[in-house]
Amino acid sequence: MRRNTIIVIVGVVAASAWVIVSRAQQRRPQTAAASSAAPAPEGAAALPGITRSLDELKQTAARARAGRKLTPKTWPNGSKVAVCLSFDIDNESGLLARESNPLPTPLSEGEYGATEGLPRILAMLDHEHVPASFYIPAVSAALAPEMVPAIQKSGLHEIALHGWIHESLPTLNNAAEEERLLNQAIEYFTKTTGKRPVGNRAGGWALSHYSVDVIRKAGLLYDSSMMAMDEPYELMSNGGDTGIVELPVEWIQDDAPYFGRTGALPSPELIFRVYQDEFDIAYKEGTMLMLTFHPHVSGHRSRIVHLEKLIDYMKAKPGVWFATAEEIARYVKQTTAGTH
Amino acid sequence: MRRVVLCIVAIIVSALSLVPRVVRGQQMAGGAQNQPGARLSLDELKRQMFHVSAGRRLKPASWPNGAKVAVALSFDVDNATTSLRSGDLGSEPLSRGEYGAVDGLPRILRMLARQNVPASFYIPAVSALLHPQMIKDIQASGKHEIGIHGWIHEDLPVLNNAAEEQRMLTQAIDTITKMIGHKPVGYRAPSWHFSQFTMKQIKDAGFLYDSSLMGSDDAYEINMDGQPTGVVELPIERIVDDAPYFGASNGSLPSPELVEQIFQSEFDVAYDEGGLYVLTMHPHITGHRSRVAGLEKLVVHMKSKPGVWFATEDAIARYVKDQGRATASR
Repeated sequence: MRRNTIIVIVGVVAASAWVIVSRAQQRRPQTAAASSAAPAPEGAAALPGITRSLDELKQTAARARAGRKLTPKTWPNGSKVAVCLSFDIDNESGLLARESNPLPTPLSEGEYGATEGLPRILAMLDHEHVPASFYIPAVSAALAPEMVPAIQKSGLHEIALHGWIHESLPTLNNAAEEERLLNQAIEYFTKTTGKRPVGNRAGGWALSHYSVDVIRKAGLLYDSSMMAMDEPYELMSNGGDTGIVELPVEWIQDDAPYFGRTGALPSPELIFRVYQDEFDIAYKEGTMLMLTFHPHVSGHRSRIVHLEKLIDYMKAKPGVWFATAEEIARYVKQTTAGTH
Repeated sequence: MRRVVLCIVAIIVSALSLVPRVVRGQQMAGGAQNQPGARLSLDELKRQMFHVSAGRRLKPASWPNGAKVAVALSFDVDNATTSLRSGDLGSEPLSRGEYGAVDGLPRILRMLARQNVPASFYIPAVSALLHPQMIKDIQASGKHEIGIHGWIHEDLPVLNNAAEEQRMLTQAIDTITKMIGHKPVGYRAPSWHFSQFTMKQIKDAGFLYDSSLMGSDDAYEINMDGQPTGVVELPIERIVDDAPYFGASNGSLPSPELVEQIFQSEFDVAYDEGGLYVLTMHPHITGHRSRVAGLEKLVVHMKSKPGVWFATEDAIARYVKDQGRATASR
């Protein structure tokens, strides 16, 4: 009896302490800008890695890691560099995924990708006669079904995967759901394009702990969401080759960090100078340049002008191979097969 | 014993209910709950996407007098209303807003008179009531338009209340109508933010056009739930807005020269494409000396090209609506 009473009292004390602590924690974000962020753990709990052994850390890092380099001795026709222009047609998908009741103005910002951004980009690519890879969340394609035939029209471009609705995979954190959404997207594009897509780019470039397995299971040729090198490489998982080609991306070669709503440097002139420097070194080193754009970001008038100028600059050099990511992945896989 | 336990359970339950509602982000953290759209059907997603969306494109075959491009200079005369709305009564934000009425707007009006071009001014009713001289100054040339920009620059999605929103919209229309002598025909939502109720309310209020959405570079007819509303949209963009670049303490590119370059290449492509160009500025931001100078250079650049139609948004909306009607009946 007495023991029970003590247990109960301890329980009450603990519960009220918890209430006080959690109320204090909730008060804090009201002044902080990021009111939606969960309270961060403190001390050693905030740095789980410091208590792990080196072996444990190696294991943790090994889930998805760079394997062998796949840059061939030479690119097709003796070209010096491979250039892939890639466009993530996110449009409204991310907003529709995140918000339970998305508002008209931000939705219209994404809608612009379909009404103006993509048509302007396609006209420019036609004009320059260069191919590109388009990564499309299936929902974006379904909301503006004229986009897929427009991309297919020239016969130059690739259509590849970018999630069902630009879902954030680490946030989803659910292997079965992730697989369901990927398969749903593969099915959608197989039906609408007449060809099963071979390439994957994760929403926000964020792979979950399950993604490598999910991609391998789906039998995809390549992924383009990782950043371990400037050139193509084979993805390794837990020490083993996966057979998946990685065509790496980089924030430096993306439009969103500069132009996005919290963009750091919205001067197209200065940004395209960064891309140009990236290209010049890629050319010198004989590897690959992967640029990532978004029609609702770079499809705007003041930006497309500079994109076309950059393409003209690259075309002016001898030995630049403009290709889709699929073509690059097939080429590196085939020319480097069995070389290790 | 049982009573003790019951009593304790009751205490715990009531303590828990005292815990303020966990903020939304935390409540939804983890798993698919965080991304509700991932579980919705396509029909459901279409309902969300097409509540307010781009309908018929209203790009005329040609602008008046064979002009190649239509240019609307627009100014949101917010001044201190955003601070007053939020109870942010510091001397710094209030006086920074006040500058819009004291120096910013007069300097802009002088520049517009010098260049002889019209503009559209969207004014929160409270802003107009606090500095009524502004209305007279804007009207003096007889060229400019005055449109609605909320009662006190209220953030409609945050308000999230149809009745309150309607009350303030009506109050704003009544106030501005009285001050300018006729009913305004143009609407721009404060911060360009529509709530889920806004489209229906501005349609019912009989506005000719809205200028708060971003679905295209061209004018378009707004569709609501898939149905044409008859309301013309003259789309805006952050790229052609002064606030993201120059904003008080967090502007991303405070070089007027580089900003004018962006505005100019937006114009150059609009000119090549025969499109519409809507530039959004704020007197308390662009009315400053170094920036009006940049704006005037831009206006001079635009005027140096043949076939540039400078117009109020009112005039542009009427024109594209008429042309659209002609195309539809053809």
